[in-house]
Amino acid sequence: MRSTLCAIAAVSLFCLVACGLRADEPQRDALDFFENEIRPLLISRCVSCHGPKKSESSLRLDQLPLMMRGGDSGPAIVPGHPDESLIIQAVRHQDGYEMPPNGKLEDREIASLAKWVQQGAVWPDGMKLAGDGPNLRGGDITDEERAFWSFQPISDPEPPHWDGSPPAQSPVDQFILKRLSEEGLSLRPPADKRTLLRRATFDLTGLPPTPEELQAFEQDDSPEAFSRVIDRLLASSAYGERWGRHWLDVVRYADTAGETADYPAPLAYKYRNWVIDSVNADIPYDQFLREQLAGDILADQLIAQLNGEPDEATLARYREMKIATGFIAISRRFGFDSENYHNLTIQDTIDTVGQSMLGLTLGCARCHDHKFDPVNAADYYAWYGIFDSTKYSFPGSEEKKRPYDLFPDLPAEMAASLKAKQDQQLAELDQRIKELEQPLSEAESALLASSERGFELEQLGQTPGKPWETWGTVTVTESAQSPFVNAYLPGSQGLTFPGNDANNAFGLRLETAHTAETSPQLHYNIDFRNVAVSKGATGSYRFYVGHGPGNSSAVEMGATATEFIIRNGSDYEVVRPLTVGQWYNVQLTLDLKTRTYSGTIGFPGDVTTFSGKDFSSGWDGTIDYTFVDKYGHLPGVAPARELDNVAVSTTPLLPVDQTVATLQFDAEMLANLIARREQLASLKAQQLTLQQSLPYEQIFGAAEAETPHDVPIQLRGELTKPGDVIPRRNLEILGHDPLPEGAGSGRLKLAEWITRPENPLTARVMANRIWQKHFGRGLVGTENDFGARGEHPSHPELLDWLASRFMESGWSLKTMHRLIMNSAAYQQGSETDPHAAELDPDARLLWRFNPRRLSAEEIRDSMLAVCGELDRSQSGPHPFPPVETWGFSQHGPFYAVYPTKHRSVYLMQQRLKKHPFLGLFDGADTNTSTARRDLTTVPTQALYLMNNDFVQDCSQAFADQVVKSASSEQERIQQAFQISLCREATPEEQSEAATFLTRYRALLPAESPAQQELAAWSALARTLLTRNEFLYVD
Amino acid sequence: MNTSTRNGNSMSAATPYGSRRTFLQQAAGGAGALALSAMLAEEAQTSQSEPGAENPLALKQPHFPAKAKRVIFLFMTGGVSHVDSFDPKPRLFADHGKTITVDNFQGKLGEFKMFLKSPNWEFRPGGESGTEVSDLFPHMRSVVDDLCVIRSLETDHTNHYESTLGMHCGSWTFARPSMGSWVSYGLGTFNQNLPSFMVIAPNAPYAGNQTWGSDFLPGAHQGTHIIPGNNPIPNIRPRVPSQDLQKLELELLKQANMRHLSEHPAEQALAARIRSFETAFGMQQAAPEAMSLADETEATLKLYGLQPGQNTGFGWQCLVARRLAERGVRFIELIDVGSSGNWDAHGDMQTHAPLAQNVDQAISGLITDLKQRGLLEDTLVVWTTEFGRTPYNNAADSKGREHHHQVFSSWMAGAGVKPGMVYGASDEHGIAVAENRVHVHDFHATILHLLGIDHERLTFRHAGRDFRLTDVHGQVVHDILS
Repeated sequence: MRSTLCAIAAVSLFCLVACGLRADEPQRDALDFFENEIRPLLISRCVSCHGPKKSESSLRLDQLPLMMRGGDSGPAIVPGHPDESLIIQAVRHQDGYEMPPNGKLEDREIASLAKWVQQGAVWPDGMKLAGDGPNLRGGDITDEERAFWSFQPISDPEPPHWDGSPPAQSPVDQFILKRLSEEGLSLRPPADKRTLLRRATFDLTGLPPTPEELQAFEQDDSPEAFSRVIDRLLASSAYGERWGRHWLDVVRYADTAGETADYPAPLAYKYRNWVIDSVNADIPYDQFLREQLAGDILADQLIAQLNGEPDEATLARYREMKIATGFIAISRRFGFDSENYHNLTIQDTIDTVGQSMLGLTLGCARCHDHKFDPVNAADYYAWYGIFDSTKYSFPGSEEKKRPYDLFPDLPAEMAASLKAKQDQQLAELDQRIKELEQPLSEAESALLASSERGFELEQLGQTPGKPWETWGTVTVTESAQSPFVNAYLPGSQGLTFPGNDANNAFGLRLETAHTAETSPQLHYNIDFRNVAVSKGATGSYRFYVGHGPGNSSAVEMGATATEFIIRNGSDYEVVRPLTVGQWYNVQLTLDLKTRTYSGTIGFPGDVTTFSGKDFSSGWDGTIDYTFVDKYGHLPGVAPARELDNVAVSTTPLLPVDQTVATLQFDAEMLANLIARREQLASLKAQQLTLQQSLPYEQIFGAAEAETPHDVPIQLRGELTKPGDVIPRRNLEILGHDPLPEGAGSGRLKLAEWITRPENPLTARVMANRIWQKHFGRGLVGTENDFGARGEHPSHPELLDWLASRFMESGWSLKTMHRLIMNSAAYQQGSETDPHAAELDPDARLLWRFNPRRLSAEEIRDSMLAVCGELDRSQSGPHPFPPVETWGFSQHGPFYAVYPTKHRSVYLMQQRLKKHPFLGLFDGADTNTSTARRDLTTVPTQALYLMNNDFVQDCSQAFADQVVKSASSEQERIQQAFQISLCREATPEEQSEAATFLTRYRALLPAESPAQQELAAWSALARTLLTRNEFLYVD
Repeated sequence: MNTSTRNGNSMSAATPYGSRRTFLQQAAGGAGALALSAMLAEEAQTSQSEPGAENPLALKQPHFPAKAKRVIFLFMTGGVSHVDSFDPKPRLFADHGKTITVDNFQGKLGEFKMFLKSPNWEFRPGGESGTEVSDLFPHMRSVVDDLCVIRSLETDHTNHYESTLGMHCGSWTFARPSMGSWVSYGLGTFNQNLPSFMVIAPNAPYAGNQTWGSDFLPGAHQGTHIIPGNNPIPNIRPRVPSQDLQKLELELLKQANMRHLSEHPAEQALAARIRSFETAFGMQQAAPEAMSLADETEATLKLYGLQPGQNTGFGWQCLVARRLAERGVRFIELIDVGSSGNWDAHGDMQTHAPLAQNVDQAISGLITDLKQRGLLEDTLVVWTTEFGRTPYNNAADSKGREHHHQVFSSWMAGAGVKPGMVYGASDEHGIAVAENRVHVHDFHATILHLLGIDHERLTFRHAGRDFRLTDVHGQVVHDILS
């Protein structure tokens, strides 16, 4: 690169010298030519995309030096050499370039441009074609950029002196009051205790306070009363669920991958729970970040430092740190074969790291130097190399439907040894299975091959195996054991068929294909009974003996719920009625020569006989198959049925009331075979379980790739256009630290660069977020953007002071909450003030506390809490379908909504389709970092609150609870107000509610009094749960 | 600015839960369609001046005078074959079975030997313009004088997901706000009793509801999904036995909210939420009313190929679209089928036939109906799909066609578009654009232009930069503007 630049410099220098040697006259001609031909052309066709407003591909054509410096593909012109100038190739549509994109220049224009370059690209001295335009940056970072406020070291200013009124309650107030006083403003008087408790409880836990909690707070007159409330709330597990959710917003957490079929990531929940638990444990924020970026490396270091075996606590730490790298694994996936779009996934990671941890929009630098902030494409690819040297757990995709690179949650050695143990177990199992699978004796083989073994060898509860063939649902059951013993010895199982639309059928291919020549006579036996008849089941099922499964029948018979019929030629004849639950035996004797058959149907003491019936008219002369299926003589659903004792024999069989005299097979051999088979089945089940499970749990996270490497810049963000290789290193603006030898991917270093106290952004960005979540907006209102396009802080010194306290406290969130919430600024009222509102409409200077709407999660959780249905325990994995069944595609993407009574942070959240409730009430974007929920107020939310099942159910449960809580209407109304709004109903409200109940009952259709009562109270409950007072916090 | 007084006035105005109901009963009861649209327009006027600031759906002025006030966007899922529908290629008939070498097959670059495949349907000229349309769409051919057929569209990807996203959001990889959301954001809407952007679709297309998502735009601009059938909008059915009961409940709620508002006079969101309940109450009637065809004549139903009482099918979707257009919905999208069982005819082109039958008469009925009611003058109707299909395949006896993004056809009709026109052309076999390329970005820029929006000026600041529907691209196709 450098040598090219030098060469260009040399050429242009030569050109200038050459131009200088020329006489004035040609020079003037050249300038005229430029003015008449080139300047209008550049302005009308080029500069709008390659100029000060936009510089596509980093190329600008509005100034000669910029043109010579060129863009991503190199210098645009080589004066004197049109054929070597990219701009000429582009307008000629050569070498893959096509400019301008909206239509080729006319030949005359192309010729002029070429002539101008040929003549040395004469340009009026210092002239800019389109004025200056806005200041879009690119290239080297300037001193001015380095001097930008957010890149300055964090100072630790003294809180300003304040002895005015009201007095400062904390150093925070000194900053706030001082600044307010400069505008002639002040704080509002303190909020009342109820308001303050409601504010603090929602703020720290996302839930409403209970009446008991309010009572306790109101009765505590000590100065520490509110501090105690804060401590209580911070100690509640609900705190981590609320503040963990804030972090999950920022890292765009989702339970699915986001590629074209939105594959589930069933293990992502571990990261979610880790975030919640870490926040509850108040682990230092710098450590919190380090573990998310490089927890796998830290975990391995932890084990490497040990002398002996790791104890439980160490293993737990190991697991936690590995799980933390879920931050990387939950990066968004793209496309149909998401592995091919991994460059975009890495962009998503870098962009999220930038916005969440540093308040920088780094993703912009994928295609070009950042246009506003001092981050260049080289910086981006320096970090890209780090993540390209990292293995991401793969969630599955349309192209590759299974996850891979899931990591054990145990140290590699332990995992390997457990795995080895399991392999050993598997090997032993394998051996035992092999032993049992010894070759069968000839007799055994004969027995197995023979249909005469009945269904006794089949596995209970399963579909029968060979030689039986089945369609639809066919199950081996004990209930299907026929009581008749004329064909086989007593057994214990037969076949059950449900009575539904499906063709539930079984068939048997006979060992011999019988014809009139080989087998003049055949004998057929079957036992059956109808077990259940569903409503409207008027169809019949069919018994078939003939050629192949359906090719050509010799004999067909049928059974409905009430009748047994046989086919005589092409007619159907009813033979006898049937009773549900009664077993029947059917025996036939088929005469293949005369093509007739005779037989009996019945049970001992009640046998119907028939004879001289014709085979089906089209029989083709072969019998090699028998089956029972759903296609009897009558269409429709057939009864549920059971079958047993199927036999087709060339020797005559005994009548139904006799017992088979001789064993047709060796009973002991059969017993052995059955035992062996059962043992085999059990061993194989064990084997399968072992094969499908691991001796440890897995983690959806990140790991070091085998070969860490640097990557080339991707010009214009395109993988196929590599530029210079950029060594992995820190961002230039954050220190430009090189990556030391042996640093692996560089992620641990990256984590250090981000969390070292000298980093001017990390502590500021987080201190600002904490402030934002308490007050509704950060001191910097663009919480994800501390760059040039972001806001400047409203209180820069307060921001630095907070950031300093944050680091000083050991990066403790809980310390920050106490610091902020104990201030008068936090505890003031939310009433407006016309004068102040005019000066500072958004109360950025905090002359009042800004009220806010509840978030989607708070609305749902509060309703569940108030109606007594909220499950406060931590939720585990989602009930995703088993991974073996995954076949999601863009035609049929994964989509599910799993109902739960757990807190909303535990709802399963997808990327392609938002959760219906969270989507409607402005939940976080699962595709990109959400700094702040933009809240909307739309009629579809009101429809939800009016008519959705969830609100209906909650209000009913709430009403039920209220009605049971007291006997008088007045007490119930008070109870309802207390639980939902944490205050008494005023006399006016009391009477309004009473009137409402009376009028409502009167309008209700006549029902039982209890139902009427519940309906009326449910309606009142709805007005409490959906009113603004419930949905907003002061 | 004294918001509280304004809110107070508006909120105490008579009985919001009564007035709208009465109004709509009148509307549904007797008024003819034109009178109805007039009344609805009036309603729009009122809602425009309704106080309670920060209504994200309040009417906004376009950048310049607009020809189109609303859009009906017809999206055929799966990729309709251009060479079997709107792009006649005699050479493709003649060269059937001949081999050809192409440099792009389903987005893969290289040299591929392919077999040209003759279209399954004959082409015939239609109307006075004589624009050729195949026998796949005989009904649309009968209204071709009203259409401006574009035969030179190009998109960026051969995959359904990406190109469906591209056609809706102008972004092929990342979810972005969809066109309907941008239009709602830019212009607001006429009727505050109905959503500004409604999508009638039996199933979600590829890329799911991202295709009508508002993404980073405020949620009010997100498309409301209507599912043809008995329960088209979630939560629209009142859950209490009578309307009087619901009114009683909502009146108590409002009473409480008004008291709360009087204690919080500065909070505009509170007033907006009170209003949202009134709108929702109105929607409970307005939306089912808009979707009920009870007052449509037999002749109208017939025009769309509908049986009395039918509440599914593309004919129903089209007729409801007209009713929503009359009622002041800004952007109406109709999706014919979902992400399966659609135009994705890899196996056999003949599978286009039933899909065409599902939409053909309904669409021509819509054009005819809009025209005879004078609505076509200020309604832009757009017919499109995510990409075309390959004029060739990799086996001589292949019955189907694969995805083809290099060129495909679409049409626009109505407000501000030249009728009876053909714009752009593909090459002799329909493989690539031969003239007047219209990229999806250009298509979007043109639609926005017709609505009075400069696509370069309709922006939203997100994640540190200004986003547009057309990203950094897009040229308005001026040649097709009337």
